[in-house]
Amino acid sequence: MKKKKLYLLTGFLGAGKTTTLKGILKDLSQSKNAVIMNEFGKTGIDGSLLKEFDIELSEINRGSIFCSCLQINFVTELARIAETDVERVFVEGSGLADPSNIGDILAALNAYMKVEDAPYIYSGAICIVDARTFLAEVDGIDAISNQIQQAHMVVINKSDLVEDTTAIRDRIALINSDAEIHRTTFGKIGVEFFKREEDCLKKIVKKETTNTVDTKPKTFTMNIKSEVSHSELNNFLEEIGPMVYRVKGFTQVEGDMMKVDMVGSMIDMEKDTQGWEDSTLVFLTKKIEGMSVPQILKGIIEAWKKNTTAEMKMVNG
Amino acid sequence: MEIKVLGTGCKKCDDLYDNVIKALSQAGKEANVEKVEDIISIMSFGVMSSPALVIDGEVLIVGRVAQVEEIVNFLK
Repeated sequence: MKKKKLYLLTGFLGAGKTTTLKGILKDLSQSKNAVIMNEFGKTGIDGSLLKEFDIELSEINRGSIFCSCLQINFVTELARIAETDVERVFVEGSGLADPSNIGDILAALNAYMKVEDAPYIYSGAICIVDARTFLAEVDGIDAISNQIQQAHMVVINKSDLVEDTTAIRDRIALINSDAEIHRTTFGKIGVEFFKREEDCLKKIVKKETTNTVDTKPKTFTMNIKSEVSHSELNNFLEEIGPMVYRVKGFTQVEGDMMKVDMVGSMIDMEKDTQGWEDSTLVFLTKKIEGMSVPQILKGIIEAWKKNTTAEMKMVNG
Repeated sequence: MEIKVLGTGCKKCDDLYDNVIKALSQAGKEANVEKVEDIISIMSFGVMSSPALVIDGEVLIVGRVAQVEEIVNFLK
């Protein structure tokens, strides 16, 4: 069987990985593609956004695929896809994914499949960064600098929203002087990169991943039973902002189903066109010194009750 | 006897290891017990989930913590 090209898509929460992936899948719709989606929450949100594409989609949730807790699932899924007739496989990591151990993962795949000749050509990692927030994030979060270090192409997304990207480029080049750097909007990156035949396995920087059981952020899912107003939802999100890396999902707001996405203090909301029926928000919580996980959970619930009377249920995962 | 506990470092893997040690003492047997934590070695046994128990090269338990009595039976 012909070797499949394997790509990693990395980038911090909200940088635009799924939007970029949608563009790639559209541009490459003439060929057979597979996608492995990795999210921290139990409920996969991004997977549902790819419904429109004729692809082989698998979701691995509840942690990072590079963490010891999910590595085995990742390897067995790659092994399963290796037996299908797809041409390219795209792996969208979670926002905090640290792919530093991709070399070990691929070696483990060969060991598992008992083959010496790998079924995949590792064709590179593409890291998407948000022009508005990258410089603030990169110093505080190791996973982000490792994403840049392991990337073969770095895409500065949402570049129309900042005046100058020179400082961002310089910072990226300082971490990884070999990666090609592009700037774009709406995650558009074209197809040229995906036509190359290069094997990038030799170019990876071998080191341990920072994704471990100890550093794994905790996630909660909120099922909302009735609709809320725009101001109720906004006030709630603003209040819990300091406690979470990200909130995403769908919520019925004043008669419309809205897709909700918050990273840091940035809240994006747009009308859902996918026909999502349940109001579900997934919270990826931060580790805060002096605050236990139950305290953070309590904080989110209290903020909800303070800002709205809509009924909801919070569950782990 | 060569006993390997395969696991990527989770609590369940530690529990299985502890149960192996208890089982050995209960059965009054000696063996080389090794924790295998690196992903490449684990996957070379063809297991699809962890923890897993391997005795003399044979994969006997996959994806759960075997109880002490169960392991004692394997040791006979």
